Parts: sequence; structure tokens; C-alpha cells
Amino acid sequence: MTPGAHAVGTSPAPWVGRSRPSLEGNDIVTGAITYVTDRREEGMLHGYVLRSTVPHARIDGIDVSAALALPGVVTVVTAADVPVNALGPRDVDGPALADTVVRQVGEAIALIAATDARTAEAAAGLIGLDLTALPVVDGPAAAAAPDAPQLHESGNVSGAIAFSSGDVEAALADAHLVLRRSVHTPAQEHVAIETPGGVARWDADATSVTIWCGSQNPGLHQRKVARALDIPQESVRMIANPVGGAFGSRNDDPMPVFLALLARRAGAPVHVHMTREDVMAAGAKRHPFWTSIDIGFAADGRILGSAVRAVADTGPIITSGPNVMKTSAEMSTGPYGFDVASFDGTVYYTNNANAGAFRGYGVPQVAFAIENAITEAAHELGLDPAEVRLRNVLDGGDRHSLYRHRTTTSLNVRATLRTAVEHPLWAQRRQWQAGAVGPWRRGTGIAVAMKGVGMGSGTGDTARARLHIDDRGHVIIWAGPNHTGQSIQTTYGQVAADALGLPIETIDVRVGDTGEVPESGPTAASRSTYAGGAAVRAACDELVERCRGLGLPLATDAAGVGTKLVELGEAEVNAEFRLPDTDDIGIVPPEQLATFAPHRVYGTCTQVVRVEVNTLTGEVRVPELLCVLDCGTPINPAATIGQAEGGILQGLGMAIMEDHRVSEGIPRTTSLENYLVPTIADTPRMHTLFIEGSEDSGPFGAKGMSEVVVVPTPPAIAAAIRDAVGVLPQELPVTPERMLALIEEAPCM
Amino acid sequence: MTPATPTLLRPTDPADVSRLLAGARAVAGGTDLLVQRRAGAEMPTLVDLSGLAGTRPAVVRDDATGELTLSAVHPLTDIADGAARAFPALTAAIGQFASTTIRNRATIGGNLVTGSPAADTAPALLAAGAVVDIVTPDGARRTVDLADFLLGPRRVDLAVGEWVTSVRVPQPPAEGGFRKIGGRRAQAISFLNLAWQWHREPDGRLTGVRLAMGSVAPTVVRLRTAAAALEAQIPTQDVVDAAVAVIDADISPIDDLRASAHYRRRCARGLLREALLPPSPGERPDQYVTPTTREKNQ
Repeated sequence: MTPGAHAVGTSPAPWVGRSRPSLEGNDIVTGAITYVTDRREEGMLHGYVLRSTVPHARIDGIDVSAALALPGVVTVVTAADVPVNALGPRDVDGPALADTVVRQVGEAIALIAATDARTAEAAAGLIGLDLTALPVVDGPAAAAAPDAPQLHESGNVSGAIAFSSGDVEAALADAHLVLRRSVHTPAQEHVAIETPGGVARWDADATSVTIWCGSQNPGLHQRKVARALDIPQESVRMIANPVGGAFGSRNDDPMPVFLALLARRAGAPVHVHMTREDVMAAGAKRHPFWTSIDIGFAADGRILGSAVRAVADTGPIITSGPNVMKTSAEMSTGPYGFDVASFDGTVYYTNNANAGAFRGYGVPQVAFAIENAITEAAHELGLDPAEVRLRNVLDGGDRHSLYRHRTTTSLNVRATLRTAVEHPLWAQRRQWQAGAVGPWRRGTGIAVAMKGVGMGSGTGDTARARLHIDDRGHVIIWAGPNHTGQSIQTTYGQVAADALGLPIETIDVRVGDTGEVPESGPTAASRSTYAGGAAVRAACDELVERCRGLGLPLATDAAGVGTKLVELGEAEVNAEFRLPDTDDIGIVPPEQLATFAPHRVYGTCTQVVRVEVNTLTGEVRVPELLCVLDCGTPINPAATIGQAEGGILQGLGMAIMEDHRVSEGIPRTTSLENYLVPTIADTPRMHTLFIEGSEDSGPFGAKGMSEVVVVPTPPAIAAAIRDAVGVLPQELPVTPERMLALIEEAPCM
Repeated sequence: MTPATPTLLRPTDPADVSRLLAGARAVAGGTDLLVQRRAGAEMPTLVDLSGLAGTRPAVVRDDATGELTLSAVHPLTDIADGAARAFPALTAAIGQFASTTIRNRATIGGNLVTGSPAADTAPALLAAGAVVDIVTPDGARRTVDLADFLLGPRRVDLAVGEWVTSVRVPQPPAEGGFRKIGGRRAQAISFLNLAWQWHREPDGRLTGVRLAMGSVAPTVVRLRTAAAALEAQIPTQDVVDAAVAVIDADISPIDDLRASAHYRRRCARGLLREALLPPSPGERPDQYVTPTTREKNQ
């Protein structure tokens, strides 16, 4: 029997837990797929975005007359032409187009539409800008200086969050070992393969706009466009796929607003597609962090208390800054249970590259501090680094170390650690080390991570699904969160097939279109499979229940049942899944629950990594890596492993090569020639293992995992370097230059 | 936005090239030129030399002298296949050059005329004492030492209308190699690179020691002082230390986005030291250069 087929009257083989190729995979590899940026409309114009080349300047004048006079140019849009020139409800969300000031290189100043792309770009060069340079706030220290230029009326602090569960210094006073360390993690570029862009079409009769543009949050972009154009939200339709990758970059992206502004003003469809160089300058990055930790240990390795302080640079506008720091706060105690902890984090506005959402969302930065400290403590205390972690693990149902809220029983850090230490990659680490050849020293490292699933308690986080069955028994499900490259619709289909007991090929899942899909929130926070899958499950369960109530045999006669339901006007189901808050919010003040948004459900991950370090050149190579994943039920195991491997590579990039460099407000890494990401030649042999587990609130026991996999990779690599050459890097990425300096400064080989 | 190139000429007879090159630019693999074009360089007419590859072999070895003639218009993949064991340093360099797809397009001619101080084929050729065969606009030939051909960053001794047809090297010794340091293991511009060749005499002495390094000076340079310290010596720890100690005399690295001058100086020493390490018993000599750590599935 072919997969998916089953005889009438028998139970189909379950799809949940079975690897299913992504539905559009064939079209992707053959090039047949039409991405939003491939879309062409009749009479389409080509757009171009004029961007600032300076980090901070007052705009004294913009002269578009020469650009408008260029044959082929249809329209030029500046701030003055934007009905509501804002990317969000707050001043700090920034304008759609710079009006009185530019605050970063790459900030959009004007939009041009012309009959061809070359003309549009040429017109941009004819726009006269009268700018007066302003002093550049080139980092958090400059932003915090007493005489610093203020980038917003509210000042240079974008957000701050502090919390304490007790007197950390008092706890450290009794410690056998106290470490006080500082780490730095760089700005990182998403490098989604498809750069932002798409097409918008304005319907003058209906005063509505349709936008084909990638988005992780089509509903949010719908609202942003409606605000800027000053039209009702219902007049904006976002069709946000297929898109070639996101990783956070399509959360804060203003491109849908630009497309809509151009289309309305030009009265014709307009196409825009950013170059990689534009994205490198203007696109949001992972927040660079400066994180310090004071942490105390008992002689047996138990953590007695920790205080973490973090400073982040969010660039000129708020985007996700304070929310990222909120996640950092919650994860500043790592996957560990201890009694006293504090966190103090501040996000600053600067004239550097804007930072925003990026897979991991503030967790990799603080995890690097705490995992490095535990690695160092193990060496100082003469304990096995895995054993120290096992002695401190936060177990399912335990109270969180900072907020003291209750976690679910599906939290299974301990099982990931135990599985990892039994694997040959860890068990045979001395053999690996002994096999070193020439100047290449070998080491093995381990690190553990945990990351909340969903937006957190108190936020009202909800996903929705709509289902329709027709008279052939075929089912259409409109669901979110959206597909952003991970083929979430493939997973939703598996959930639906098992929940309905129907052949999977009779189920059509549609995502990403605000004209059809109910509001389901973002593809973010590791929530899509968990929340979207649960909403799909709820819709399917409701259909099954409705059929049962009506005495209709859905599983054996879908066409007949569908016909009947259509007749009855009962063929459509709407369902939602509201992510459950934690049962016990601990010491978080109830009125501030959403401020701290502690999670009930977490995904966890342990990684073991082998490295080789060349003591003569400083090169670091990562030949092999183990990833042990606690994600409840892996609904589509191959897709889950793919997510793990992709996340690991982003973690590896952050660990040893990726560094978006800006100095004096000027981006220095301007293309993929000088901003390096891992290639297949840099890719370790990766093993991903799932541990058994089930999250009761998730669809078929699933919970999220796509971010937590990024988190352990950098500290595991750092620990492996420590094992290989005796020095522990505290600054990422560990380039050959940094590595060689560490070896030469602290030779202990 | 990439300027248009309305005309692409593709000669298959070398005799046609000089005539077609008048007012045009030559292209072979295009792996650098097309990047320049995308960055805005105007090139209304291109003459594609890669069609000439069908008229001759990638590598010719003179049986009498051992001299190798390397085609300047063949893809590097073909050069590596043709040279193989006859030129270990160049074969190793091509093995670490960019990526498979680039190596299937890029040529020695293109890599040299670009004049990059980081060019990955240049150190092996320079160490081997290569000469560059150039066709002048009137169809005549001239030959120039590679050391004289490389004038500075993006500057080479090639006049308008001239093109490089081949590169010749005297028979390289059996022992030689190449190492590059980059920000990652493929598709990376070298922070620095090193090629070496020498004879290892039966008593262990090294003779005919020739070293060349890239990304440490305005052009790829010979490490003459360090080579002299090794010449006719057994590479004992003291000899290696002495050679490494004088490498600074041969190089003048700068700070750039990829690496600091300070790192380049220290890494230059490290690379030479690594090249002089004795091969490990039971291991392939280059095992630590390209570790084979992907064992079978457990």
C-alpha cells in the first residue's frame, strides 16, 4: 500500500511521527516554484528604495524634481507623501520613510517606481538630499554617555528589564567558587536565501491593496500597511508565501509597507527586490550583546546563585529590542534549577545597524555567558562538565530559578543530557583527543539549552484554524502561523490527517494569506507546530465531534458526510488554541505577568561537539556534532532534523565566523564576500536524536524546537576549544585571529 | 545594477583573439570579472577565451626537460587533473581554491591577471619560477617572469589588447604543498596562503627550497630570506626556528577587514612551521590539512 492510501474501514497508518517530504520540495529543487519575488503582474512597474549612506544626519531638504523628470519614472514617494508615516503606533517604531532625520546607514528615504529597474535606480541617484551630519552614537556606551545625542524623545534607552529572586551576593558569599565573567556575542545576519521583496497591486475602485511579500506575521504586516496608508485593515491583503527563508528577518521587515505605498501612488502593480548588499546594510540583525555573569558554586558543583547583566544594541528603532531582552531575562538562568538569581538588562538605541528578531531571540547571547561559566567551573572544581550540569538540571514541574513559576512535566533537560553523555561522541572524547595529528589539537564540548515555546504567560497568545469539507469529502484547512521556508503546511497536514482519520492527499492546507487565514500570530517563538498544530487539531477534533453528534461516519464515507454537512450548512469549522499560561506564576507580580511573560512550555537541547584547533594558525574546525532534542513528539521527524541542522549551522556561524561589523555607524561587512556564513565544507557531520516525551497541551504531544537548537552550539564549541587547547573563548566569533591570540596569550598546553 | 554587455565574442581559433580584443575585454571563467561588472564596471564587449580550451590540452609536459605548460584558459579543475602529481603545490592550491563550481570555471589566466595579492594559484606558480606567455595585439608573443608580471594590487604587466595564453614552470620537485587560511573552509578569500617546494636529499637536507606567500604584501611574494635559512639544511627544530624567525624580512602585511597585520605575521610563521613538520607515520602527509573525520554512520 502506498503511503497515505488505506482501505475503507481500517485505521490508516498514523502520519504523526512519520517523515514526510515538504509539499513544495519538488518545485523548489526543480525551480518551478514561484516565490513572491518571482511574481510578475501585467503592467508592472519596478521599484527602488533610496537609502541613507550616512549613519546620522538631519534632513534639510529632499529634491525629487530631477528624478521625476527622468523618462520612465512614474512616481517618487517621500515621507511627505505617506499618509501616516509610521511603522508602528509608537514614535520609536520609526517612520516608514525618513522625514526629519536619518539614523542609520540603509534607512529608507524615498521610493521610486519606473518602467524598468535600471531607470528606477538611476532616478534614485538624481534625488537631491540636503543633509547635515549629526554626531554618531556608535554603541551602547556612547548611547549611555551623559552628553550623548538623544535619538528619540524618550531618550536612548529602548528598554530595560530587571528582576531578582533573592540576594545573590549573600548567596555567593557562601560559595566555594565564584566566577565573574563577561562575554560578547556579535550582530548576526539572517542570510535568508531570498532577499525581501515582492509585488503589490492597488485596486483604485475598492481602495484596497494586495501584497505578495514574505512575512512571518502577515496579520501584523496587514496592520502596518493599513496604518501607513490610512486605510482599513480589511482593505489590505497580505499573501505572504512562498518565501525563501526568514529566521526572524521577516518579522520587522518594512518591505510590505514600501510595496503598498508605491503601488497606490503609481496606480499600477510595483515590484521591488532588495539586493543582498541592501539587506546587509538595512536588514535587522541579531542583537549584539555584552553580557556579564557572577555565579557561585558549592564544592560539589551545585549553583548557589547567579546575577546576569546584559546590554544590547538595537540600532535606531525599537523593533524587537525590549522583547528580546525579556527572553534573555527568562533564560538567564539557563536550564538550571537553583534558589537565587537576578537579571538586569538594558537595550540601547544607537546609529548602528538595526537589530531585531532572530532565531533564538536573546537566548544564545545569555546562554553563552552561563554555559561558559559552567564549563569553567567544572574545570576549576575538577568535575566532569556533564556531571556539573546534571547536578543542576531543572526538572519537569520544577520552579524556574528566576521567576519561581511552574514549568510543565514535559520539560526534559535531564534526559537530553543523559542521552548525550552515553553517546560515543561524548563517551569516547579521550580517544578523539588522543588521535590529534600535527598542530591540530582536538577537544570535545558539551552545552545545554532551554527556550520557551510561544509568547509566554499573560500575553494571550492564540493561533486559529478554519476548516471546510466539501461534497467530495475533501478538506481545506486555513491555518497559521505562516510557512517561512520550514513547510509548516506539510506538518499541519499530518496533524489533520491523523486527527480526522482521512487520507492525507484529500487534505489541502493553506497558509499565509490574510484574505483567507484567520489571525494566528507570528511564525516566531518556536510556536508554529505547537500552536498552529494545536489549532488545526482543535478544528479537526471539532469536525469529528460534530460528525459523531450527527451520527455521520466521517472516516468511512467522507464524501457522503461532506455532502450532508454542506447541505446542513455545517461544513465549516473555526477553532482556536490559546497557549496555556503557567499554572503558578511564582513570584512574578500578577499585574506584570505579560511584562515578564514566563513560559509554561519549553523545548530543550543538549549538544556535544568535536573540534580541532590549529595551534599554529588559530583555525577552528568542527567535524562532528551531536544534538539531542526534547521536542515532545516530532510530528515530521525529517523536517525536525532539518530544523535542528539548520539551527546548528547558524549557531556554528555565530561561534566561529559570522560577525556583522559596524564602526562609526558604517557597516563594514557589506556583502557575502566579507560576511562569511558556513558552507557545506564547514558543515559538521550532525547526529540528531529525539528523546521520548510528550507535551500534553501540544498537538499529538509536540512542542517547539526550532530556536533552542541554535543556543547550545556556540558554548559547546567554546567548551570543546577549552578541552583542546586549554583556553575558553569569551568573545564570538572565534576567528583564527582571536583563537591564535588566545593560544599565545595563555599557553597551557 | 549590472551594466549591459551587448556583445560577447567567442573565438575558437587563437589567431582571431588579438583582432577581436581591440576595444574589448577578455573573459575566461568570468568568476572575478562578472563580480566587477555587477559592481558597476562597464564592459560593453567581452571576448570569451574559454572556447580556446578545445584547441589544446590543459597541461603539456616536456618529456625532455620536465617543463610544464599550463593553459591559461582551461578551468582549474582540468589543470589539476592534468598536472596531478607533477606539480603537487599547484594541485593542492586548486584543491583549496574557492569551491568545486568555481574551479570548474575559473582559470589560471584569470587568477593571475586579476592581480590579487590573495590569488590562490599565484604562490605555487611563483615558488616554481613560472613564466607567463603573453600574446601581444599584433599576434606576437612575449614572455615575462611571473615575479615581474605581478606589479601590485590589481596591477599586472599586461597592456591593453594583450592576453595570457599559458604559464610555464620548470619541472617542480616531488615535494611541495599549499595551505591557505580563510574565514571558512570554502569560498573564502585567503587571509594568507603559502606554497612551498623543495627536494629532500637522501640525508634529509632540503635543497632547492622555494617558498611564496600571498596576502602579506602588495603582490604574492617569494620568501627568499626564510628559504635561504632552510637551503641545504636538515629541518631540525633549530633550523625551523631560524627560518621562521626571519620571515618578517620577506613580508609587509597590512590590516584589512579580513585580518590584522599582526595576525598575518604570526600566522605566516605558523604556516611555515606547519609546512616543515615531518609527515606523521601512518598518516597521509596532508591528513591534518584536510582532516577526514567523517566516519561511517554509527
